Amino acid sequence: MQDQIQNACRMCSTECGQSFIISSISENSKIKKRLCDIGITKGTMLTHLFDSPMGDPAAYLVRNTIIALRHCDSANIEVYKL
Amino acid sequence: MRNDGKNSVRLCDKNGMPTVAFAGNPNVGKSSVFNHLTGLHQHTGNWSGKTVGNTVAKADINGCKMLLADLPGTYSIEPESFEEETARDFLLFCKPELTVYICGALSLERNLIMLMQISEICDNIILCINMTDELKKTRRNIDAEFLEKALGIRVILLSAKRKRGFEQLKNAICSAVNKPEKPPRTLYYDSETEELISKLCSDVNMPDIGISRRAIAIRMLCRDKSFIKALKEVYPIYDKELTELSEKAASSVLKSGDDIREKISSQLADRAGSLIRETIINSNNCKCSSCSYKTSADKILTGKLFAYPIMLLLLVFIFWITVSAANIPSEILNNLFSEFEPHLLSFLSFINCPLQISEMLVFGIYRVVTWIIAVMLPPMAIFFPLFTLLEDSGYLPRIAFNLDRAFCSCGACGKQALTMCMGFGCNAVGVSGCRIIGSERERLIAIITNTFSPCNGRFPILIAIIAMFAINSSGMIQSLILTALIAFSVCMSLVISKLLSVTILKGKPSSFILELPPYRMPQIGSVILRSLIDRTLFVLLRAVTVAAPCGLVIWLLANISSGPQNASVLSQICSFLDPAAKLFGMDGVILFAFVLGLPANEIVIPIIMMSYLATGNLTEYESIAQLKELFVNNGWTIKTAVCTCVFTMMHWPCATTLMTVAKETKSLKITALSFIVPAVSGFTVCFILNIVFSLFGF
Repeated sequence: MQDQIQNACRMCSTECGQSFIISSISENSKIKKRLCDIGITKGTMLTHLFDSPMGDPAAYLVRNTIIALRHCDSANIEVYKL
Repeated sequence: MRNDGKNSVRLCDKNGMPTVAFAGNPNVGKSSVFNHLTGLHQHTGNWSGKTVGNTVAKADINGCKMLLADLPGTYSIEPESFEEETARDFLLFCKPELTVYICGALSLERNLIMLMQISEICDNIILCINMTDELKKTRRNIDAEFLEKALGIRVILLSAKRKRGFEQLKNAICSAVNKPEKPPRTLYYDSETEELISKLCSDVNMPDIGISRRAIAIRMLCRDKSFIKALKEVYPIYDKELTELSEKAASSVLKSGDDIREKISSQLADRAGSLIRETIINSNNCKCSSCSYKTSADKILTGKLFAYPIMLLLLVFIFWITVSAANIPSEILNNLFSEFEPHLLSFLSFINCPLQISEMLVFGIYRVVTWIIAVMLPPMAIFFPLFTLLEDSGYLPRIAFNLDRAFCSCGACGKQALTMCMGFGCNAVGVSGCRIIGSERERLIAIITNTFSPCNGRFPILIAIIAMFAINSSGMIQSLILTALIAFSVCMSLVISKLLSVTILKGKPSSFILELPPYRMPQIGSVILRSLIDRTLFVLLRAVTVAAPCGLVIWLLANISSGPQNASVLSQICSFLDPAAKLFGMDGVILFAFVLGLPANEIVIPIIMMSYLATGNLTEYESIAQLKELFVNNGWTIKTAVCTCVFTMMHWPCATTLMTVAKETKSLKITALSFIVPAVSGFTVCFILNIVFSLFGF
């Protein structure tokens, strides 16, 4: 639990190669439903794989598929790094 | 607004045949499986959203006659885009006898989430896991028996690419259509949610509409507004009951204080995760899931340093092959057609055809049609197979990924890059492809700017003009010029998107979720062959249906004369347009050719040629040098060439595209905008170019 608090951050501020677990998705997120449908839910483990050449969007490995999200969308997701 | 709940119900005309729906996430190979079973040739590609709209086809599988419906890929039964709505409506209201849910083996875990949603609304389901060969490569296997027991759904393992497993699938479909499978195992949620569900179930007080009470209750508790709206549209008589029910659901969700929707979907996701841990047998010692993904290719192809240079180089490379390889078949075709012409003329006089008529047929129709085939066909037959290879490899979504930032700052969606790529084939296809864009505003921007991608019909105009005016340059230089033009058109669509999003279509960029599929080796042989045949048929069909009548009209315009100078109607109109066209660096003939080119841009160059030749016929030209001479004698300079190229890329879309826009948007205003916006921007750019060139003394 202590680790979780220490390593908490927003998903958009993770770095390439980092793996993390989702702790919550903000109610402000307009795409919360869609994120849940593609398996990005509380407790899911993701890996930040790579960024687009201009830094935004970024690609994440989720449940064995690669999903690209813009920073403004991943800013609404709270995670803790592993 | 769009009202396709009803449309898709109309599509349910089954002719008494059982219907089988092919549903699933995007890019899991639904269309490949569908093609194999029906013998059709739906286009397939390695990216999400290739299939637009439902395709229904008759098929005879092991002696059972049935209708197969290929639904567009969806991530959820709660639709976010128009595409997903079409698929959901088909499952809900057409009530297919059987649903074949297709999964990709690698993305099985994510795919199972929607399967569980679908198992709540459909009774008779077969789960078909495609691309099992890809999983085997990573030394993992699927325990189909376990999955079958856990879900209560028949599981078939398939590899559409290697053509394995189709016999089992056919047998399973045939038997499930005749004798429905047992309904899938009911999924139970946590006790609090279950309590809400059963309470709401008892409140359902309308007759059976073929959707289980539990499913209705769950959708209502998820606050699936689109579901409620669609039900009300299809069953207007239960409007009151449905409204009451949704109000009850809303209040019980409020009372529980939880986000039921999130609870339900995270339980589905958790269940999918634990199922996968049991189902995938890993004979690979490495435990980490990321091992199956090699990101090394993406590190380069989407890396800071190389992403854009590689994109450009790829474009140059494709154009270079197209430009240099198209010359030879073009010449051969041209010679063949011109050799045949005297024979055709003598045949016509042999059957006593009046001279007027035979001239009209040969000089009007035959020459335009054969010119189009000789000049248009070879580059297209080379360019598109190459493009299809790119599409199959999975690189296209990376282009969208790389360019999203640019589109985002222009208030548009990165997926617009995908629809622009489709526009290279045909703008009408590109416009319908815009359905993959969820946000209405961004979709309209993509529709209006789609015409900036030079399509099949306009692309060879560019190639021809470049070939004429860079006649002494190598194929490499010519392809570089072509690449520069295409890059310019991409920049222009970004600029116009920005302009639109700060003026008529105001708004902030919405969210963006894009799946990047794994790179796949395209099946080179079959892809090239298929796309070659498709393109050839497409060009030939257009040449016959659109260009032939246009050739006739032009010939008539060029040969009917009136007025005091006894000038032809064509030259009169052209000289009338001339002063205006000069402002934009062109001449009256070119401008009128674009006007006449409204039904099909293919005929622009033939019209220009026919008008320049005093005889009013399209005379044969032996070489590109002679063609250049003809154009230069009629006042073409480098300025004319540049302005015509720019105007080719930026003017009103063709009639087919306009009709597609009207159909897709159901709005006269947007259709008008998609005519006016490209036209005005084209005129503006040409006007500026003209001034710039004049300043430098051209």
